[in-house]
Amino acid sequence: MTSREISLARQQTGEPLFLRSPVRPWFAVKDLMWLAYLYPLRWLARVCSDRFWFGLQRLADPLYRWIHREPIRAAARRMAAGVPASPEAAAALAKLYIRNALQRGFDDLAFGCGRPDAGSHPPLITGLEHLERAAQLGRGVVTFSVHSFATRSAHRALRSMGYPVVVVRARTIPVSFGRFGQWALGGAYTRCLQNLAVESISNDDPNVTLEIARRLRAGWLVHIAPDSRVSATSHLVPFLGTERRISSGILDIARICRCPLLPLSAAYDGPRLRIGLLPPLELHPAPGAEAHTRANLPLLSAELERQIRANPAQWEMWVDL
Amino acid sequence: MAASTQTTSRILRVLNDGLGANVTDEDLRGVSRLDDILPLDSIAVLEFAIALESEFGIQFAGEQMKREFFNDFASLTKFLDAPPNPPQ
Amino acid sequence: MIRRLLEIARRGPSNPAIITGDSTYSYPQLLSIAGNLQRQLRLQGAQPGSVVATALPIGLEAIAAFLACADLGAVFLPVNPSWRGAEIKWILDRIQPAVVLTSPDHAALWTNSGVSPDRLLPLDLEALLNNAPPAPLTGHPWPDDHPVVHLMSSGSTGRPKIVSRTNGGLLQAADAVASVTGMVPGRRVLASVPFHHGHGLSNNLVLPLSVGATLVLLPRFEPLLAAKAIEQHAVDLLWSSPVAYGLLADAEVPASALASLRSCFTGSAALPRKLAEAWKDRYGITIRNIYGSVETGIAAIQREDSVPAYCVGSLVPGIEAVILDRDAALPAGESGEVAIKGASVAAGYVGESELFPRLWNGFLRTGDLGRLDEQGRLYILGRVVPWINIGGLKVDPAEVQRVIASLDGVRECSVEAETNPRGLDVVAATIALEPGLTLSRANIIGHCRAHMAEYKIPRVIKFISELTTDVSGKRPKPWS
Repeated sequence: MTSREISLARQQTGEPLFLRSPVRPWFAVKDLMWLAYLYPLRWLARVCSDRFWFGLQRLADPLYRWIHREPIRAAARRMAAGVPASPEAAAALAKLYIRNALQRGFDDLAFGCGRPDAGSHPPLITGLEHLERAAQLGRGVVTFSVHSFATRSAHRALRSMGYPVVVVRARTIPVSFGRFGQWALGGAYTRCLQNLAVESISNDDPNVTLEIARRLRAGWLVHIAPDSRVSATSHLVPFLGTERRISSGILDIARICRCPLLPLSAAYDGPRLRIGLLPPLELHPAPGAEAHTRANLPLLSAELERQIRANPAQWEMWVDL
Repeated sequence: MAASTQTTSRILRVLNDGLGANVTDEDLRGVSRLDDILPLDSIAVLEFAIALESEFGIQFAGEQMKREFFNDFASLTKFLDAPPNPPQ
Repeated sequence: MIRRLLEIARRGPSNPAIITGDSTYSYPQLLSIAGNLQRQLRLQGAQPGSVVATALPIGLEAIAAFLACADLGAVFLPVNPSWRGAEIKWILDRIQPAVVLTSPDHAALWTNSGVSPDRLLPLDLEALLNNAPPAPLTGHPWPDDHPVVHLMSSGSTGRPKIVSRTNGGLLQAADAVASVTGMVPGRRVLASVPFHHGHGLSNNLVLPLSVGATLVLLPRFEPLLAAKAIEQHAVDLLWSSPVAYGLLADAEVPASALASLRSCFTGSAALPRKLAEAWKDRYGITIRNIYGSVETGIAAIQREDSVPAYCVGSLVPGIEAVILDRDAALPAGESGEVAIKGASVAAGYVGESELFPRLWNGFLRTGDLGRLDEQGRLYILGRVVPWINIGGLKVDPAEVQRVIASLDGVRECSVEAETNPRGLDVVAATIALEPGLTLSRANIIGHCRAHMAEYKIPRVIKFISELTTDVSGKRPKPWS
């Protein structure tokens, strides 16, 4: 079952796609933001000076925080319990969290308008030797991370260094769009993200895993974020002091395609992008698919938790926890 | 025709032993598409493809790595009857 | 546990502990058999903390094995003796027992599943009875938190799980239940629910023996044999399931055969009101509800003769219950998820996490929908989460069941979660067809595809002649 089938099924059965109501409002704040993002801001990004651009980013920060005051509060509550952190530290992290979201937006905008210099500074990459060693096995490499604001920039950085990178991601329009946004901006939104990301395989595609296998055989680096709650292969696991569904699909792919699974973390550190690559997960050999998942799912979820706790303000999904 | 029967049995073995599918010859009678009797999720399709490669000593080409190729039972059987790159 | 039994044996050396067939065994005799078996277990390599799997029917051997393990500090793991390859493998994937006790004709099932022959101990009752020199039990005082038994949950929330019960938890639960059910020395209990069920082990074994009562063993529940055993041995207390009470009523057992019965309790499943009334009319006996699970032990017992619909009685001493909304306790009268806390609640699932993942302030969420009334009586209304979770989507098994049952030719259908070879839950349908009719998998899947979303279509389809329910009231789980 693909995510597309899941989405269709949810729509057919009236189940909410995420936690929100399946009935979209006619017009949502998100529509306005994306309308500004997709048209005047993109146009502005092409023509303005770097100084004006950074000034705009600073100006946008308080407005963006005001618009997202409720998500900030929700993120702070969940960070306090999940990191864990004191209420004051969690509140500070939540502000940083929203700032990182904004930085990602400006990074993407700069990249999409052909001025990558206006985005983050050149990345600091550690652990490239692990990627090199894994690639030399000749079975392709699956890198994985949590959904981090900086992951997209990290992919672009790796691609610019010559690594053939493909990302597995959803191509659905977020439920936070209103009906207007869905109708008027949906196409532009999808095209915009497509241009911003490195090459991608849609997890809606019925051929998704076969395509992943094909790319791995051709020596590609395939990136997957297994912390998406809706997945045909999700298991409920203890996570950040609560429970969350984590997809075990990449463990299956590693087992079937015998490829290494490399943890990749990406974080904004002020204007700097930091990318960390770790040695491949040492998967426990186990007889049979179920035993393999059972033995290795804790390793996977522990690494995902580690990435989040190391950089709590980078994880996109606090509000979805 | 005899080869086809043998190929079908080998595919069945892959489905049952590799995927725990519990499908019989009887289930396959008159069925042209695999998902009519066995809806497989995307990982299971990959598992099926790799298990077929192992069973038949072949490697599917890139253009064959499509769900539809594995769903069309008749043409899959026909392909596996005479694969272009038989076992060394 | 064993110290208490040694004391019971000392005080009443001639009191019968076990009646099986025509043989009666006193408490000293039972403990002596258990001692002999313990010696064999030690020789086989069992030691404190190791797991001893037993695949035995209700019988003297199974009881002796439990006592031998309890004294040795080993963990008793009762396994359904009708389980075969796939089921045995399921256990072995999770637990590697130090010793497997089974009958000689079942030994091959375990060796074929990968258990080394030197870990098998085929039981020979004659040898145990005549073992010399005797090897008495020690009565070692194991701490309260020492694990004493691993039980398989029925998997009503999905796949079965292995639940660990501790020495103190088991005994405290037995004492609490005894205090409200009139379980005292001298009472005679028919042991008819297999010990691999939590209900069987707790109420047909630990509870009666812990007070010095007598167990009348019935290896297999046949209504007429059960009635004969009740009559012949003057059984006065029956802990069983609605299925067993139904079978006794259907067999039209005469009231005279059951005249000795003074108390009847039922668990494992809801007691149909009609059945309760039929028993009251025919035998003059009130069947009382008990409520609990392998995870919680007995949490509530019906003490009055008559209770309102859905009421399963009052909480057992030492048990606390709350009714939860999402994460807040609800006041009396409001319905929500039943959560239980108390000494009898197990420590966790074996091979998963140390603690239950569904804890709320120390209360274990049961998944049952219920409410408490002003008098503290508990009502069970159904399941909070009856769904099968498929990749984060919820499938209502009742809906799939209805769709399949609407297909011409389907007589009965049961839909449950089953774990696929990758460890994921899938929808599994077990289907009984009308006699003489044939339907194929393609027919079932085609029909489901026409009426339901793709993710709800059963991935596992099994055709069987009829759906059965065992004596514990549980529908046997399908295995693949």
